[in-house]
Amino acid sequence: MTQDTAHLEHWTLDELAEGRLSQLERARAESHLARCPLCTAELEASRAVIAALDALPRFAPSATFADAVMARVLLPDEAPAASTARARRRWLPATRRGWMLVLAAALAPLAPIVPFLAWVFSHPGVNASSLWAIGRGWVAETLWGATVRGVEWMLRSGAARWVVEQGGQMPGGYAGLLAVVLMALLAIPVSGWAMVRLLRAPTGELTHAH
Amino acid sequence: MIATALTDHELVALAQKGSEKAYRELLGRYQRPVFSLVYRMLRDREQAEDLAQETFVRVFNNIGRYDPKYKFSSWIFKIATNLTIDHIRKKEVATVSIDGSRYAVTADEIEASTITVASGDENPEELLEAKELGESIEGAIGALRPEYRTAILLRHVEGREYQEIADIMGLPLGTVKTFIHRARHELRAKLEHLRV
Repeated sequence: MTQDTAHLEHWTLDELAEGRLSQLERARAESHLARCPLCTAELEASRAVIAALDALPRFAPSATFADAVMARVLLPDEAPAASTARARRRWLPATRRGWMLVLAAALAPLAPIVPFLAWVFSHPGVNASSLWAIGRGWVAETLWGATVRGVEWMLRSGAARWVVEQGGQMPGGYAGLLAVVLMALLAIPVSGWAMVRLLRAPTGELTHAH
Repeated sequence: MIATALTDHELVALAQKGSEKAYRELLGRYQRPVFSLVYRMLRDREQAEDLAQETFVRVFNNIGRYDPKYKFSSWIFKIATNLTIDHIRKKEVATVSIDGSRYAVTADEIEASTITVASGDENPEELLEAKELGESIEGAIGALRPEYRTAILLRHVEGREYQEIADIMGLPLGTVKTFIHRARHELRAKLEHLRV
């Protein structure tokens, strides 16, 4: 209401119809309404529309609605696996052409080997079993040579004597030394297994409410 | 069992920890309000189901990003209204008559896109009158601009406060008040013949 003689503003009528006017404002508006049939009619019309709108019902979706939604929801404990899969998919080719390119790139370094192998096999008497025998002999010779050189170094440098002396002074004597060696050998696979478990474990504990 | 006395914020916190029951409780609370809003905006049951489902899927799959400073209801209605208004703009969904979507061709499609207002009144004359009034109102709402429709439905069907509607629609409070006032004014003009 701008002044006593003017009609109520539509904001005022809206707020009055919805019962949102303060007590003082409502008293002023009602005093105007008492002598203004036009504003009273406006107010009644506004109230009628509001009442009709407030009476509108809500509609229910189909009975399968909730299940259809949940079928598409990634629960948080599923999310890491899904995101890992998505990250993996991001690095993989999406098309057959992409896969062919990856295969070509992977095989490219082997290209020079093919003519070399062809040249090797072109010699008389050279075949797969003869090459296998040569390779096996070379590996066995190399391993044997490394073992002999290692033992020689242990004996010449005095390291073997030091180990024997220290072992004798250990609690339990040579049996104690043997136990320590066995424990050290056992610790290697056990620590590896523990490391793998730690790396695979989730970073946060997820709890479910029941 | 999830107690229905839990607040939306508490349910969201449980959902963020992976509780499917919390998701289902939130679904139970909001599936009718969200579906009703989208259905009245589109007047097409099948499309409304799809968009309402999409709303929940987006909300639930981004539940970790929910900011508890805001009401959960504001967030879900915001996503629902944005999706629906985008859909209306893309597909140019008609502001249809009470007889259903203009895209409906077969009898089944017409029926699916026609909103029928039920009444608990048992007096046949009053039932007919209430049905006529309800269908006229639904038709008149369907003819409003999408922004007016959103504002008026959030205010009167969902009972949201003006400030929450402004938050949901991302508009200033004064603009929302203007939308609602104009929407009511248009509805009054359209329903004059029923002496509403």
